[in-house]
Amino acid sequence: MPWELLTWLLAFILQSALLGCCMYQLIQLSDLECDFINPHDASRNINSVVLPEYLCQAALTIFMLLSGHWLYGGIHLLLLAYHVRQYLRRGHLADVTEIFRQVAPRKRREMFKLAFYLLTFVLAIYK
Amino acid sequence: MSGHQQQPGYNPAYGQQQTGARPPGPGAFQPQQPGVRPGGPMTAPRPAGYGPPGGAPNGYPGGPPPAAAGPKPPQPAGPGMGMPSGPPAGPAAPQPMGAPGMRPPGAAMPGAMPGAPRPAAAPVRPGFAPQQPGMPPQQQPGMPRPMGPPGPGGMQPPPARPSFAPAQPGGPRPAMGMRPAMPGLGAPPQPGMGMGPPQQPGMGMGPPQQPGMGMGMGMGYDQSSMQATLDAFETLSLGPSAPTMPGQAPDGGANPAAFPRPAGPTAEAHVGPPEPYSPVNCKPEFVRMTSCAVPNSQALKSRWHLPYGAVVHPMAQAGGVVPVANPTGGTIIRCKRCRTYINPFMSWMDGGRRYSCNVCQMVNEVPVEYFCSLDANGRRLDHDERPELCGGSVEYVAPAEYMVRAPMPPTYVFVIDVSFAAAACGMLGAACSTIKASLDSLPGDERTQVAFITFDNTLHFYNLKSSLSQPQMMVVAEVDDPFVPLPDDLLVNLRDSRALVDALLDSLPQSYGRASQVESAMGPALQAAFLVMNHIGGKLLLFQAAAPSVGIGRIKARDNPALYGTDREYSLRTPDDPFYKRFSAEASRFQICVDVFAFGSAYMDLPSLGALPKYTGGQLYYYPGFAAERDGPKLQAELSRNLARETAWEAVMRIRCSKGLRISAFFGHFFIRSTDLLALPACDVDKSFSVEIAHEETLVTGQVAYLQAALLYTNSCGERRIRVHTLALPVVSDLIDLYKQSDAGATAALMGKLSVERSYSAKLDDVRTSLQQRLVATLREYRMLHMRGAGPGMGTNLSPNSLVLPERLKGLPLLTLGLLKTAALRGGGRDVNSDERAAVGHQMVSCSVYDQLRLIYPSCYPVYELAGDWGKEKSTGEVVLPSTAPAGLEYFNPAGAYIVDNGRMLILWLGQAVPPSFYAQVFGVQGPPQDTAGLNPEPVRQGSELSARINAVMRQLRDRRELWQECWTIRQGTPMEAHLMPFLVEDRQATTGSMAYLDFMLQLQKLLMAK
Repeated sequence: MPWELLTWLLAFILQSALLGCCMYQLIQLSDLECDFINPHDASRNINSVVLPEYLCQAALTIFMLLSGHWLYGGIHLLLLAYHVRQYLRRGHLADVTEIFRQVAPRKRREMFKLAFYLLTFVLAIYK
Repeated sequence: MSGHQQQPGYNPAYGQQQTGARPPGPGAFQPQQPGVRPGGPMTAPRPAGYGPPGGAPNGYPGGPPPAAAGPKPPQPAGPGMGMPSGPPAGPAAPQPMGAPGMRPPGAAMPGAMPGAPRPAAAPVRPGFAPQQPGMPPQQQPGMPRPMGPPGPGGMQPPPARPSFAPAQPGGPRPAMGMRPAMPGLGAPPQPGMGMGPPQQPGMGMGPPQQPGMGMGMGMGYDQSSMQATLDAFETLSLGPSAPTMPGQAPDGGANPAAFPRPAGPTAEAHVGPPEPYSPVNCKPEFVRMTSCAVPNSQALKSRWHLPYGAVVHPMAQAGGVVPVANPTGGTIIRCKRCRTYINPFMSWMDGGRRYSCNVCQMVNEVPVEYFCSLDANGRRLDHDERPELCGGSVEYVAPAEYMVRAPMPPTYVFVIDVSFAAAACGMLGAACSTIKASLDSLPGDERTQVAFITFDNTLHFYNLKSSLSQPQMMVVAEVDDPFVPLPDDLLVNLRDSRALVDALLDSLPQSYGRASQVESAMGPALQAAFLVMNHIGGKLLLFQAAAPSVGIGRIKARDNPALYGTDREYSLRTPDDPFYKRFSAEASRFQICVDVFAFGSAYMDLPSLGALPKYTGGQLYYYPGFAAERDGPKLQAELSRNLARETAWEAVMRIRCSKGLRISAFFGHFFIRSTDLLALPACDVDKSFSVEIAHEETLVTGQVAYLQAALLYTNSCGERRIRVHTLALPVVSDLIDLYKQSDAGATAALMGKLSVERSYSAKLDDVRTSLQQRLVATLREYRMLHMRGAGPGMGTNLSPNSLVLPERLKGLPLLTLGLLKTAALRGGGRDVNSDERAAVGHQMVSCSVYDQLRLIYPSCYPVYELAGDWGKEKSTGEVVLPSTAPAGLEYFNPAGAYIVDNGRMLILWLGQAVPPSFYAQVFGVQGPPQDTAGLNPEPVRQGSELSARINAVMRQLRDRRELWQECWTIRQGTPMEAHLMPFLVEDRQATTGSMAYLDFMLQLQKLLMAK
């Protein structure tokens, strides 16, 4: 039982980190849209959290799968597959020269991820 | 007339075409015209243009061309050329099959008995029936006459007009609406105006560079002339089963020779801008809209399937000198809310104490020092003295608040590859001697700064401090993390160190003449140059002789045609190494503009190298297989133009538009710094920027919408300047008005830029398909409009075989076909060298509309007949160009010679039957030699007029172009001719999916009728 609790505690911490990364990116993107930040800084800031986010997510997925939480891990596996695909296509980093063209799709993507993280966050809390 | 809701102040009369029901009544009109073949059943109409009476200067032999030449295109007759101020007859208009439809040459000439119908002789003469000025109009039911006097060009449509018809005369149009008494308003009717199908007053005839502005067009529209306006349409009958007109023999197939094309004397009318809405709009050279009317809602715009936007060319040379306004008291008047600069369209109120912003309607106070009282018409008394109030283009000297630092001096850093390849091809010598020769013409007088860096597998810096007696070279072998020795002495003042710079440029070719180092560390050299100049910015000129192979940014041989057709295809056209984008973003941030001169004989990965200029406002020059003796002059001309041309430093540009509109996309060479601010480390006379305009959810309110482009820059003399171009556009609620105001040239240019940009993220196949789909959707929409009878004369008798083209867009199908065949978009992996594709794509994205039209549809100038006055200088110093031939081999006379100008090179095509005397006169050789590759029409052969004229034409074509066009000679029937083929847009080519003009039209028609 304490193992179970510890597992969910860790999941909770990782989930909050993911939520934080996601929200940070969203804030950067909307700042950029409103011209509060220049594209150089915005893309640097965004890129600085992309890899940590991916790593966190991968760690969480693997951990949950190893600890036998198939449903929870399985849901995250989907996102992990998406992340790996992004990474392989080099689509994960924001491109400073194209960032204004990417703002809308990126924002949509982050919104989806935010919703996903919230869902799994709630899942983690109530388990 | 149902379709017309006139906006006050909006003149439907321009850009329109009278039309009538398609099958004509019995009596079509035909003016008496010498040299016009009476109409009749014709399969291959030989328009009067051929062998025009009196030896027209159209370059065609007076007699019918040899049969082998195939059906000749309608070459409008030359006499039109002599007509004062009127566009010539517009014969190249789309025509119902089989009808020559050509306006007889010189229809307005005295010989014509206007209004004299010749029903018998010309049972079908869908052409044009000019009437005598002032003749009572024939009865035209439902077409009240315009109020204005008909004027010389003001002819009325005859009754029972066959299917196409002349333009609406551009008679005087009383101003309406809010714009009182503008200069040029109510201009006298222009003789000859509106006489050809391409109804562009003042437009048709001008040399292509100067679409006629400044003819003082009236700008209001007149209610009654609106009434008289018939709708713009022309029809092309395609297919053998097309219903024939009375008197016309049914024959098989359509006649491509009669299709509309931007060639011949009316070329400009097919692609020129429509008449400006307001006489104080900035010139179309500066801003060209794809349609000079603004749809009032998103819903309406969504039915306009073509891209809607503008091509902005802020520094255009063709635009002439922009007047400078000195702001009074150091302030520049701008709207408080939207920051729009003051312009002629602001309205003054309250005795001149306040003004209302034309863009956001905000009422602003006039600063005390700018105050001036108003006259009875609400105009400021000092209106005429202030350039910002009486013209659409103006330049301000900006005060200190527009600077973030002291204006920078012109700075040039030359980064030159000195590896083996550079010396071997002679690039090093040619570049050094050109730079040396251009030092005197560098802008900036005593402020100019220069630095030189050379590199092979190491970096070489040169200390040019003026106190030294000779340049001191320092070698840095560390390429992984380059550093700069002596950071202060590398970038020096040109005037102080002139002797050292000269000595360095003299010694460079010698010291590296025997270079054996084949590696080239371009990336580290760029990084070093960045360190040298990042405190000040400026231009970085990179001369790259071979693919970079050492250090960061090295190029892999990644060209892989097998990727074509897969999802990864686009990656071949985008930079491989993220270094390139990252470096250019940083460079742009520090006001560094990178120009790349690429000389590789093998794959150089221009898609990667091209990212450097793309995001820094630079330019990519490409010299495949450079050989100094052959390509030296090209490099010399282009490099010296690059160095000497007017350049705007550390510039930013913003484009504002009225409420309800927003800029949704930008195309060109720039870095987007915030949603609507373009950062341009350097901007010069050859760069244009295009925008796509989208609608917000709301309706566009008001009758007029505005667009303002402002370029804030430092000029070479160290003055901060703001160049402002303002444009007023009528807001329309009817789709038909959008068609009437459309600009085929700008539309094609914008479609090209958009497609190239799209090819960086999509498959070429998809790009081409979507181009074609847009065209089909547009024409389908127009056809539906037409069937519904949006205008009088519409909606009747539209056969399924006739292709209805909007009058002003009738050249668009051909231009689209041309776009599909440009090197940037055509074929697959093996059809076009990928470096060439990248270079052409780069040029297309940033060049002006005029240059792009050459790329899309090359001009073919016949240069073998001494008739006419082509090739002679006008009093203005400009050379008269021959009237162009269609770009198709079947239209070329085998006994003739043609200069094909495709915007990147000139090709002198010699027919097989060219007489030996031509060779003697032009090349100074006896008879046609075996190998024509070595033939060069330059220099002028002594005592030969033909040679002098050809050289004059070439000089004129090369003038003011960003790229200097080499002249290649190709003889018909030789293997070399294959190089010409891609530029003959109207022919079918070997590459996959390449269609001839006729096939394309047939396919278009099929797609149109598909649903």
